Amino acid sequence: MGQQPILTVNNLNIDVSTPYGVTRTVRDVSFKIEAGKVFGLVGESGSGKTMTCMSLLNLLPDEAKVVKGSIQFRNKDILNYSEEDMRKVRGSEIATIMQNPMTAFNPVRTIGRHFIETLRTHLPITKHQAREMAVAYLEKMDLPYPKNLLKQYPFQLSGGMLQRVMIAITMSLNPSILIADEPTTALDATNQLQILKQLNWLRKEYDTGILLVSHDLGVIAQLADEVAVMYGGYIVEKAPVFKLFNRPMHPYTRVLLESRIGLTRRKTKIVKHISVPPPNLINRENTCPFLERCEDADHTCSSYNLELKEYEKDHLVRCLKSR
Amino acid sequence: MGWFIVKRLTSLIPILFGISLITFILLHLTPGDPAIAYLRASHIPPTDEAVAALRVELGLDKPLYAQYVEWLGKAVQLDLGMSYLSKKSVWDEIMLHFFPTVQLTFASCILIVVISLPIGMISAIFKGKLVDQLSRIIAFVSVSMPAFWFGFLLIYFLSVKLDLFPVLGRGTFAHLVLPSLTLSFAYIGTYTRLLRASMLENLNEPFVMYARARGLRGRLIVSRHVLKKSLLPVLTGLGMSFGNMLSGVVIVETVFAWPGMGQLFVTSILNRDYPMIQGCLLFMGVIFVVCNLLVDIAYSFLDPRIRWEGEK
Repeated sequence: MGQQPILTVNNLNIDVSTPYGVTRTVRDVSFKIEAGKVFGLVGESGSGKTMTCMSLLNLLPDEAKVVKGSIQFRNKDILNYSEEDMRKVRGSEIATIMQNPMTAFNPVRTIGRHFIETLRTHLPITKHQAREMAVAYLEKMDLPYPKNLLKQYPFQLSGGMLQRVMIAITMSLNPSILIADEPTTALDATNQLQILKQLNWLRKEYDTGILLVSHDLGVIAQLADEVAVMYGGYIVEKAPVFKLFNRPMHPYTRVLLESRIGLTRRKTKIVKHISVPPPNLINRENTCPFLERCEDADHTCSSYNLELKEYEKDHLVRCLKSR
Repeated sequence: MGWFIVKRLTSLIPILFGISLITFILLHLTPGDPAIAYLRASHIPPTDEAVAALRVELGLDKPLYAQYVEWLGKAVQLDLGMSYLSKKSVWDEIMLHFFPTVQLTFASCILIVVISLPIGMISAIFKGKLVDQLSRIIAFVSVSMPAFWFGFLLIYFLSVKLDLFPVLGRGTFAHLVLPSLTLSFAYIGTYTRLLRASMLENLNEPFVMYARARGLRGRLIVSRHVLKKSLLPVLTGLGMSFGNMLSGVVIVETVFAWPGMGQLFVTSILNRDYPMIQGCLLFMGVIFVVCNLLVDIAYSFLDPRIRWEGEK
């Protein structure tokens, strides 16, 4: 490590107003993304992963708002950017791979139009030049017959192909940060592996820093350098990938890992965790979000004010019981 | 693409056959004797002998299926018989009245598109804002105001008071303005709301989010991504309305004394001019079906998914 991070998120807090009240979906989230490194974000649905991603692009939905914190991109806070400045950053500096490639493309526009419009938004080039660039990058992604591909419509391609097209579009602008929000969730296992290999290749080739969001620990283990586990809007544990997998400290991380490797062993424990509903985040106090589901919790937990503590070097845990 | 059109064209054959059959049977189910109607229209007292003689002459004494085959055989060659009323060829009469209707329809459609698209787009983009509220009011007024009243209002203010346009009839370009405005007005509300709803739906699609995440300009996202996809339902509706308008708009044509299909049709019904009614019905049916075919083809241009399904 020791490198200057490209993107630094500090104490990010995001509120979402719902018909039932205000929810703090992201609480005190801090992390760094360095060039050529992959930062993994794990967590169940509703834990705040996607909201964190959207805020990095300044594309939060209307009902969500950053209430505290900063997002430093190359030492400038992008939360202060004007919409036009931010627009220029999107795609060219901070790029995204969407969760579901089948719905991310406009069904009435060809792949070529998607590709060329993106290039021409950020680069002063002609349509012809853009097309040639597109062909070159599609080839790099091992997509067959790239010229033909440009004339095709999204629904004529498989999910895996579309995901690779998306990566090709992303890479053609050589961004310094890539946000990959569940890049493999909508794909089958063969395609998943291929996409992961390609993501790995491009971070090496282009030195791109990747924010890899997933609820699949296998995906994270394969690609990430550092991992943060999110629960109830908090980062509950953050560590280099091997430390996290070898010595999970937070009870939630442990459950997460156990539920993966030990479906037959310790079945009862997992069932217990699932039978308790996930925490209601509306108007919630600053208590541990995992309180209701935690096995190790006792009366001291409910009064405890949560802080992320360094358990050992680079291994941060947000739990009273973890020492 | 070519295959798609061929497939659609073949599917027209049974539909057209059905239209002709229904047209023919419908008229023979209605009470009243065509022979008597013919005599009345010609101001001849319908005595028993006269009726009997005429029935033979018109072929009404033959069995129904024979009449149908004969009628259809001629209809295919564009011979729709002779009007009882004017004693002219039905086909010629229809052609004479069809052109004014085509003119009116095209003018109205242009107005509908030119007015509804911007309003619908703007009210979708500024959802809930003042512009949106205003467009909602316009839409309500447009849908609920009867055409004959709106037509008279236009005549009263723009023709009589301000003397900007001629009151009635057909001739110059100025004659076209008020009727087409009246005709299109009722549709504008519908299409404004339709486009608005369709755009709002598409604005929430993931492809819009992805387009924004790629840094595309807002204007480009709306015009190239959202609008094109949102036009699909509007186009379907517009095609149907087009067919509707082409088969004659009785009220507007009556208010403005516009010599179109609607006028011809109503006059022929009032006079029980059987060949003319049959001819008009068949013609309108064909026009309507052809309009839908054209919409389908246009649709497949806008939405590649339909095109490719046809090829599979």
